[in-house]
Amino acid sequence: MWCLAPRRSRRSVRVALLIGALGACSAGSALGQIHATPSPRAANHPVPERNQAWADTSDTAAVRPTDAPDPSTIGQAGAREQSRGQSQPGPDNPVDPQDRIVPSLARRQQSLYDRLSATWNDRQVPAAFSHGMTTAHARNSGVAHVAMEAHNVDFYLGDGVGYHVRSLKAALVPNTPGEPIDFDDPDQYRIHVLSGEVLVRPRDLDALFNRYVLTYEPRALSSVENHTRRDTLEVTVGARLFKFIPPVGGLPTTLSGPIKVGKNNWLVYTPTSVTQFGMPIKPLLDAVGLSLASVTPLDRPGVKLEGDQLLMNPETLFPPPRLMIDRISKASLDEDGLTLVFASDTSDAGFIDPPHEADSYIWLQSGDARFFSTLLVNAHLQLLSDSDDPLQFHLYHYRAQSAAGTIRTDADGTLVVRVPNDFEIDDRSPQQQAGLSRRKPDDDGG
Amino acid sequence: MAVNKRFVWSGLVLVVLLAAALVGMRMAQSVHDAPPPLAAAKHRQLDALNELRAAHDEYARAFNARDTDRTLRDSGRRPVGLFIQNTFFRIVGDIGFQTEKLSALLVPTDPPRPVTLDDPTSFVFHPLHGSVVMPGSALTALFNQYLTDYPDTQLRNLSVSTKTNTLIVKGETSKIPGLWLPFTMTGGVRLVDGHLFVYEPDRIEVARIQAKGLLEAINLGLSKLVQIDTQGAQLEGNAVVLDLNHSLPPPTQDVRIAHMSIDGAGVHLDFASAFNPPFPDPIVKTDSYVMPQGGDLKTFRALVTDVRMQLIAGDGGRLDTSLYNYRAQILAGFFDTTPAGELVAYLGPYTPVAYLPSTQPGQNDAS
Repeated sequence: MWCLAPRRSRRSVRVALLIGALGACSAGSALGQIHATPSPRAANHPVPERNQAWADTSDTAAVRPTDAPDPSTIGQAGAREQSRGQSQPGPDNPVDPQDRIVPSLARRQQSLYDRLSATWNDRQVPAAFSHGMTTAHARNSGVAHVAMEAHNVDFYLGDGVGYHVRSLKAALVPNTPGEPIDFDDPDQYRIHVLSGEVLVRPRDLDALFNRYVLTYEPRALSSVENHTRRDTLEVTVGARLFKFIPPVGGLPTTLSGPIKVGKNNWLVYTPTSVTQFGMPIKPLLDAVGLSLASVTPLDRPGVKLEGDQLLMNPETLFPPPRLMIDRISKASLDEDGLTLVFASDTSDAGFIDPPHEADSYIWLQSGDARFFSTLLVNAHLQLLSDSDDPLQFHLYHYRAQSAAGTIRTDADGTLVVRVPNDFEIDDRSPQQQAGLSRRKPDDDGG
Repeated sequence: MAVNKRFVWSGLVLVVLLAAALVGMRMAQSVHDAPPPLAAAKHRQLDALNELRAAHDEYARAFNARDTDRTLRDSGRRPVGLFIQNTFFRIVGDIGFQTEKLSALLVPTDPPRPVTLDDPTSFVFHPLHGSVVMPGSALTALFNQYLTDYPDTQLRNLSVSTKTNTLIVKGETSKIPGLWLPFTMTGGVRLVDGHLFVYEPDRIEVARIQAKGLLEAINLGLSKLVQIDTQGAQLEGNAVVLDLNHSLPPPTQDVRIAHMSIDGAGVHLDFASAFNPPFPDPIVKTDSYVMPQGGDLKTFRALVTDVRMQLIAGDGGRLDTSLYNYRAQILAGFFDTTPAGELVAYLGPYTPVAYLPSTQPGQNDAS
C-alpha cells in the first residue's frame, strides 16, 4: 500500500500516521526518572575503587536469598536460569532497573554456557574412584583421585631414572585429601597402580642405582651395570668391603641370579653366583660365615641387602611420586629387562579411551590435576609425542618438555599436549619470560 | 734367635702399618647423606616457583592484592587483571571496542567462584585506565542485536553513524503494531556521572517530517512515542539515555569515563580510576594482544591461577577477538607455554557466534 501511493499522497499519509501515532501514545506508559546523580553506594565508597567493586559484589552476594541455589554449584542450570533477568552484581543501575527484558543474545549465551559446562563438568569417573565424590564447584570437581592411563610410554622421573610403561591404569592419590594432584611436587601424591605392566630395562636399573639409590657416602656399592637374560639378572658392581676397602673405586664384582616376588610385593634378588676377578667368592664367604650384607652393607629406602639377598620395594625404590602396589602378579626377566605385572582387588573398570587414537600416550580422565599454575578441574588431558616415536615423558621436567611442545584444546575441554622427546632442560629455575619471538606457524604441533 | 726377633718385630710393624692404613682409609671416606641430585634439583625448582609467585604478588600489590592465602586451587587473588593493547575487543558480534590501550579488572560476582571466561555473568568489567573507541557499527549492533532485540520492540533497522560531536541514528519505529515509520535523529551526546550517555537530538524526523518541533508544540516527548524495554536504556523526554554499565551485553560494566568525544571514527572513551598500573611485559613480542595477568581465570575446564596469559592473533596480524566466541578461536589455534607456566594463546580468526540475532530485529513483525 505504501509503495503504490503517489508521492504527495504518501506524505499526507505519513503526517496522518504520525498524528495517529501521537494519539495512540496518549496513554503511554510513565517512564521512570533518570537518576543522573552519584549512586549512594558510590558515594559511600569513594576509595579505593577496588574495594568499591568488592563492596558491590559483597552487597549483592548478601542479598541473594539464603534458600536460593548457589549459582556457583556446577550442574545446577536451573539455579542459573532462575537468576537470569534479575539484576546482576555490579554498580547500581539508575536507568530502568525495573525492566526485565533479557535480550536473546544473553539468554542464548547462557543457554550455550549451560550446555558446555554440562559437558565440561560431566564426571567420567572409574568405578573405583566414585566412592566419596562430593559436590562439584568451579574449583573442585569433587573427585578425590585423578584417573591416569598410560600406554607404551617411557616414564622418566628425573635424571634418566624411570621405566617403560607398557600399559597402566592407576589413580593419582593426593597425600592430603582434598588437594588436587600437583605435578610440580612429586612428594605431594602417590600413584595407586590398579593394573598394568611395566618393563624396567637394564639401563633403567643402571640409572636407578647410580643416580638415585647409590649417591650417598660412604657406601659399599657403586658403578652398577645391569644385564638381563631369561630368568637371570647379571649385575656388575664396584664393591667396597665394609664400605671402605678399597678407598677409591671398588672391587669389580659380578653377581647373577633370579628375581622373585617376595613378601609384601618386595622383589627378591638372590645371586647364585658371585665372582671377583673371575673367581667365585661365595663359597669363601660361606666358609667363613660371612654374607654379602655383612661385607657390603646396604640399607636404603626401598632397597637393602639381607644375608645374600637384595630386597627391593618397588613402592619406594624409585624417586617420588611413590607407588602404591596392591599386588605384583608376575615378575619375569628376559633380554629386555625386568617385567612387572600389576594387579589389584580394586577394579580398573570405567576408564574410557582417550579422545585421540594413539599407541603411545598418557591420559588423565577425571579428578583435579595441577600443571604449571593451571588447575584442570574434572581433568581431560592427553599427552602425546609430537613425533612418530613413542612418548618419553619426563615428570620432573614436564615444564620444559611441555614448553617445547604445544597444547591444543578440544571442544569438550580436553587438552591435547604434544611434546618432543628431546628438549632443552631449561626449567631448573623457571623465570618469567618477556619479548619472546612468535612461534613459527608450522611449529604448532599439528 | 735375633733373626726370629727381627721377624716378629717386622710382622708387628706390618700389622700396625696395615691397621693404620685401614684407619686412614676409613677416616678418608667422605660422609654425606644429602638427597640424591635429582631430588635436590626438584626442591630447588620448587623454591624458584615460589619466588615466581612472590613476583606476582609484588607486581599486583597496588591494584589487585591477594586477599586470602594461596592454595593449590586458589591464588587468593579475587579479580583478574586484564591488559588490552591495539585490539578489536568484541563482547559479541560487532558489539565491541577498538581498544588502543586499556587496563581493567574482572571482578568476580560470586567469589570464591572464579572469573569464568565462558560465563560473562560471573564477573564485572571494571576498566582502570585507557582509551577505546566504540565505532558506529558497534552502536548499530548494540541497538539492533541487543537493546531492541525482543518481541514487540518499537524500534528496528537502526543504524548509527558518527561525525564530529554528532551522533546520527536512523531506523524505524512503531507505536501501532504493524505500522513502521522511518525516523532520523541527529544530535550530540552528553556524559553524566562518568557512565551515562545522554543523547539529546536537536533534529528528529519521523516519516521524513520534522517531528521535534511538532512534539514540542504538543508538549510530547519522544519517550511517549517509543520505549526500550531492556535495562540500561531509556527514552526520557526527547533524550535517549544509555547507562554504559548496564546497556551492554554481560558482563556488567563498572566504568568511570573521564572524557568522551565523538568523531567520524566513533565514540571515544577515556577511562580513569585510582589506578593506572603499568602494563606487564608481554610474553611474546607483539603490539596487539589481550593479556590477563593476576588472579584466577577459568576457561573451559581449566582454572588458571595467578594467570599470565597472552592472547595474540595466530596469523601474526592485529588481534580481533570476541568474549562470547573466543572458544572458536581457541579451538582453531593452539597454546604455547613457558617453563614458568606463562601461556600464549595463538588464536584462530574471529568468527561470530552462531546465535547472533539478525541485524534487523523485528523485521518479521513488519506488515
